Amino acid sequence: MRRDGIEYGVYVATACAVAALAVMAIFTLRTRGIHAGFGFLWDTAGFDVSFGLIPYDATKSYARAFLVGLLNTLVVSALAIALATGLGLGLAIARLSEDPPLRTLATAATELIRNTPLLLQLFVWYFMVFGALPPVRQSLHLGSFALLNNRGIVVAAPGMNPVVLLCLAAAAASILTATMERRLSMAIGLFRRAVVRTAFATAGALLLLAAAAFADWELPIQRGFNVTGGLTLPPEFAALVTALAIYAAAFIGEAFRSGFVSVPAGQWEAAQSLGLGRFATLRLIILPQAVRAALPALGNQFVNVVKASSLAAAVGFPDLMQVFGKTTLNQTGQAVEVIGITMAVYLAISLGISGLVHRSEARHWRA
Amino acid sequence: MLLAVILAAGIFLGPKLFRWAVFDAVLPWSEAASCDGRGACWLFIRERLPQFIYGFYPAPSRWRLDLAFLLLFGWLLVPLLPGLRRKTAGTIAGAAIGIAAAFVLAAGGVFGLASVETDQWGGLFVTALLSITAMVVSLPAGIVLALGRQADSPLWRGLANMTVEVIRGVPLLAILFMAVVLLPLFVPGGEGIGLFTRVVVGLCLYASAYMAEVVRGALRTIPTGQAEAARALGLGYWRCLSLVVLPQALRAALPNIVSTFIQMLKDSTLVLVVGVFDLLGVVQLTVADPKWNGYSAEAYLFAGLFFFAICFSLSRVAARMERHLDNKRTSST
Repeated sequence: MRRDGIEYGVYVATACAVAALAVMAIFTLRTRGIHAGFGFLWDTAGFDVSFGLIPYDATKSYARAFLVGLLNTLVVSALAIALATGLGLGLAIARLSEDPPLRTLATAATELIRNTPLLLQLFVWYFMVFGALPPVRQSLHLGSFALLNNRGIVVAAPGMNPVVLLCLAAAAASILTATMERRLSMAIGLFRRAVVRTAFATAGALLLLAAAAFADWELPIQRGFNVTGGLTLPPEFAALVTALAIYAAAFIGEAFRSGFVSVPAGQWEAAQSLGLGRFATLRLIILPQAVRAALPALGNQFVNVVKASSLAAAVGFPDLMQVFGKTTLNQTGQAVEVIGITMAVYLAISLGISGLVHRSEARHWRA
Repeated sequence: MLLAVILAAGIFLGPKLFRWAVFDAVLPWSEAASCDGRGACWLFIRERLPQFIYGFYPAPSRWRLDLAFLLLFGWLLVPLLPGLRRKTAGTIAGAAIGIAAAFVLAAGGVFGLASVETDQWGGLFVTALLSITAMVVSLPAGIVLALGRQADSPLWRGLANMTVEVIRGVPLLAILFMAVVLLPLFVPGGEGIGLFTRVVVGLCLYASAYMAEVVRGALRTIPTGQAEAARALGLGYWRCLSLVVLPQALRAALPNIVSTFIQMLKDSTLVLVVGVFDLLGVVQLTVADPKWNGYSAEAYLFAGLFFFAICFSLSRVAARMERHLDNKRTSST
């Protein structure tokens, strides 16, 4: 009984405290001449960004700048996650391999990467690798497809035309059909299902290649002090993606490795007694269980990559944190709104990724 | 064949790296006046070492920072004092006093010590101060948050859930920005709160949320029978917790707690983005110094080695703790 009274008291006190904080904040902001509200989003931004996926310049609104930053964050994170997963898988395989030198090397690399701060690694990549690239006149050439210099990496940019669009659409449809496991298994037998899936997947791959062939590639050409054509990836972008990918790869490798190790030895023995070869055992029995076990840790690392991409603010790459959280905040002074929106976006992304991983966990269990 | 490629790369690069780092290098104890540019310039590190450790602290007052260093770590020895009862309470009290004393010593302004503004603090001292404060504060705060998450009352549960989820779902930079920019708005007279204090608050919040998750995981591994038995013996909520559940939970969570400490140490480097110069921040500054140009490799190597040494040893300690715990768990029937 007494506890109920105390509880109600705490409820009321908390509500009062929150109200007091809000009033306090609005009052302090007013005295600085800043009005609460989201109207500032439609004011002219007045600053440029060095990299963006949508057209943007200084005359556009803060809302537009927000979109640019958000897209950049998503692109950097997606790229880093993809690279990190591949690298991590490789690292895990190396750590579990049978010859000691490879194992030691992989373990040493993992420990080195895991135990140094990400910011330090980012600085090393930015200042000592991508910043140390030669000036434009002496750019390094990677075939005719890419140019590396201290202003960035210029890669050949694909141009869009109707044929490319068609090929891409067909490829997407093809690959989607190949992944539709349950529907297919209802319709046809197991063996035929495997054949059909492989056929669609191959068709998809071929269509992608066709799209690549038909695209009007814009090759980067260096003339004097400038490079014309192509898509320029600023050194900040390259450094951020590389640092994030390598850092996450160490942790993802650890996740894969522990997932692999958690599969009981009895599974191997049972598979062997059934006459399954090493590769078949891996593919049909061990890997599904290993990946299932590693999924939560994997999802966690994916979320960490997205959060760590905010370090772009340390090297000046215009991601969400830099463009919105730093520049917009400094210019408009609308602290509560800007930080609130930024935090809400990151929260949404993290919860979204965690939710997706949860759902795929459940799906694996069902299948 | 992948192995062959890697080995080949290693054999090719290894000796070159070694020559640069050791043979051609100007070692820290050499008498050269400046570096010849052929090998690594470790002289640079020796020249800059005081700045790396003390930041911009005025030279005559540096003994205060030495004392503060001792205070920051000294409380770890409290459990070793002979004849001391109530060791946990003693360690906690020691930690709180040590950290507070370190802050006071560094800031000055009392007991006749000259006042030193927080913007002159920097380097290793700031890293140590920030990390240890975050670690020490995060344990009790994390425990409170974890208990809140499994409380009966929906108010506490909701508050704790929201706090932990929001802080964990958001980058540390966002928390730091929030602390630096929003704290003065919500607190009366908030303009007077220095940047350093705001950063400390932000870091402690972040660390507490992660510690809360660790403690919550550990609490779930304790069989409910323990709490029920304790209640059956007549122990109240807090007694039951402090005498029965928490000691077991914390002991089980020790490896994860140490892992979180490692994470905090590495994450403390982010404060340089908001303008507080920790070790990495000072290193970064010296790299940009035009007088010692081009020695970024040595500087980053030094910082990297330092962090690696500490984090790696801590991770070995955590691994040993984990093995010890596993042995205890499987051996006791």
